[in-house]
Amino acid sequence: MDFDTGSDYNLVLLEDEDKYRLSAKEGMEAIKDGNHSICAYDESIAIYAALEGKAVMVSHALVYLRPDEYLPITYLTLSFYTRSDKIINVAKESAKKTENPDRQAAIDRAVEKMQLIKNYCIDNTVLFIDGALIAGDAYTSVMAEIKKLSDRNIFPVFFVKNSASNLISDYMPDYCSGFNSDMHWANTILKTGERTRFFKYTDGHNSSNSKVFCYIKHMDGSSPVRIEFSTLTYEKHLSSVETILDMIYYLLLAQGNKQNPQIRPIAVAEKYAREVLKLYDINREVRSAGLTPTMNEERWG
Amino acid sequence: MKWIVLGESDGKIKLTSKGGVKNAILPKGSYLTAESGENKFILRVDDSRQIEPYSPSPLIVDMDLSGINADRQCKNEITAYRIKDEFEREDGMIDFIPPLTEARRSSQEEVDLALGMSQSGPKVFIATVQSNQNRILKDESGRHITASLPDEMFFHQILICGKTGSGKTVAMKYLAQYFTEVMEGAVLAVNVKDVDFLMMDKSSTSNDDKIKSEWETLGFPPHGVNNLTMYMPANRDYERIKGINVGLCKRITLSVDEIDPESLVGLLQGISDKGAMSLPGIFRYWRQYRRKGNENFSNFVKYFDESDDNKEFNTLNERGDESRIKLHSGTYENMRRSLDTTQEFFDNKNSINLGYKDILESGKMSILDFSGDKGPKFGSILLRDLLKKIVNAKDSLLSKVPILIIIDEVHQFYGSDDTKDALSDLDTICRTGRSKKIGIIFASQSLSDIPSGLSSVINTQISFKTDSSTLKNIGVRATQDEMEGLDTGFAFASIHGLPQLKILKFPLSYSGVVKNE
Repeated sequence: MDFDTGSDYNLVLLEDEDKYRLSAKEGMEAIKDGNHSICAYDESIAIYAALEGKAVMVSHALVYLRPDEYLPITYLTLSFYTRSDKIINVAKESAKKTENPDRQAAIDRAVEKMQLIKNYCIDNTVLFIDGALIAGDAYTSVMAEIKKLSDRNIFPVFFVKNSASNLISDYMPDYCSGFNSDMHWANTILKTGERTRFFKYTDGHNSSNSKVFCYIKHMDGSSPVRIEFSTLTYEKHLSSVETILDMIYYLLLAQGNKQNPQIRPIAVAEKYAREVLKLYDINREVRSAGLTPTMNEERWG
Repeated sequence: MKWIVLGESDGKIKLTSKGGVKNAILPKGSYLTAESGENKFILRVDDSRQIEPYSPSPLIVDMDLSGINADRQCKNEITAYRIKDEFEREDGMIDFIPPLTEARRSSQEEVDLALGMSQSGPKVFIATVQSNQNRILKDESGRHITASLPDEMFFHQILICGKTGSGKTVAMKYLAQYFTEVMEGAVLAVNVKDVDFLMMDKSSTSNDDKIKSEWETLGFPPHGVNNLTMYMPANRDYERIKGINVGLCKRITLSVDEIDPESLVGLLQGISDKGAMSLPGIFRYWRQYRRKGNENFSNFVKYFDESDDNKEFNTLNERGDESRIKLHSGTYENMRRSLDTTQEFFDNKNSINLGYKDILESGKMSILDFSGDKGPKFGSILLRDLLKKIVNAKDSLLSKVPILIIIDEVHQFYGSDDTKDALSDLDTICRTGRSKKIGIIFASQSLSDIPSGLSSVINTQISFKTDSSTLKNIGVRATQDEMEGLDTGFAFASIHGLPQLKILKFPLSYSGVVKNE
């Protein structure tokens, strides 16, 4: 999901041209030459809504793209969130007291993700992460961790495929107007194998919340995707950015799915995340704890 | 390499390979051992295929870009039959093979346990077929896995089918040599083609490393048969046959005095009229009552020729009952022509008349060479006569030597529609030979060549490269391509006493396979 961060922000054009050509061949060569360690992160979530609270199981997967194999590292968590003191008194540390279970679950999820990345992502790695950089309430902790990753030469790249964002069209109506969304605009101006110029977003209230992004169109008939970096990362690795974008283009083509564009290693991480989620039956686990299901249950991941 | 049990479905165990560098497809027919707790379960692979866990898109290749190597990873998915549990429960129930149990390729000892094999018997290699590729089964150390065919198999009738060049004759040589050297029996083999069985005194030669490796596994070097005699029709110019040891050859003839009249039925190949079956009776009558002094077979032919115009003959059956028969003129002419061409087989000088003692000698291999032009005709009579003598000797307990009779291209000597009478002693041997230790190997290109009266008593069937209709009788699931694409020496089999062995490879026989110089 993509959260628009509010109307108080600054947007800057970082490059001169409207669009730039990408090279899948050079991306392929860059991956094969082994100078960049490549890793991807995705997660899969199962939720059980009970009258007593909400159980959230998250399968985190970090997958390395090695020369001849994918190397997965997975981490499975199960948390129970409730507003009820009575439940907390019984469950003690097995449950978390919160006024907003959804918000807390999202924050915890983000913290777990960054913890996994911090502990298992090796230095000098390009790390592809599914989802926007600045999203929801957890972004503060995420941004803090990204700075630490940057010190280890870990280059997180955020990948957004479904977005109704209007950051550009709202901020620069003269530059692009009359479009339903920024993605709509990108789809119109880009040909296959091209990207837009880079834009720099800065939060009006907190300048450390800043990101650089562009749009890529990799396939005819397919929606463009948005690539985001933290500004810190972008500025530190400016000389590598073109190569990384070529790699992203190649990896989008390697996935080859028009209906569901994705960077190939993220797609593999998603597979592992879903498989690991099957290890535990959240329904059985929660029922065996004696909790009562609500009428509607959600499961998304 | 290891496989992981996923579960059971429809009576078969499903497994998938564990990732690793040496990942590959385990062919059908292979054996796996799954260990769980104290028990071992031995499985035979029924179906094996490649799966691609990452399912990459081909789009990238369309764009002339190479794909990600990690996407090319494959796994091997298998379904297998449960053949044997090492330990049986005392409560009469059967252990589960739980999911996530690890399995590995079975060792020789485990395969022996699974197949219930004894250590004695001619050794063959357990083989596999996958995607039209034939392989010999190996254990984790790379050693060939062998199977011992039961000795009892020889006395329960064997059929070997296969197209020319499929390895049929080499397998017969291998079994024949085993029968003489290890079982110390006698072998009577019919040679119908080229010099197939005429080089058995010579050790086989090969430059193929695989064949040498197979011999090494079996523990025997190539070597010729020590006690070999080749019997040639008297009129055969065998000295001109290149490469054979002339010193081992003897000329043979039929004797008008000693031949069993029923053997003359061999002359009647192609004559369908039942009236022709009276030929033995006609001959018997002539030999008993009309033969003067030392008249030979030519005189009988003359007698037959000079019959009265009614074509009526007196006959005498085995019991001594006289009768009279009138032959249809067409039948008479056919019989007369056959008799005419047969004269040269009888009463030749400097030739021996084979008796049971020539054949029933422990450790001796006797070859009857019927490969010349008139060989099949001669063989049709001689074989019947000789088999009769052998069966009589066995019945009378004159010899206890086990004997193996090998008849290649059997349809040349016995018609596929021959009646039980026409099959005569062949039928007797097939039905009662076990008790007398008489075994027969029939060989042909196709199952349909076998006399229909005998196909029901075949207990062991070995099919080399042949048409797939033969397979239905064996109970093997193989595609037509796999059946027709078998490499030389590989065969599908249904072995008496060894029902679990379905695919095998014969080694090159130790003798008789010599390169032409």
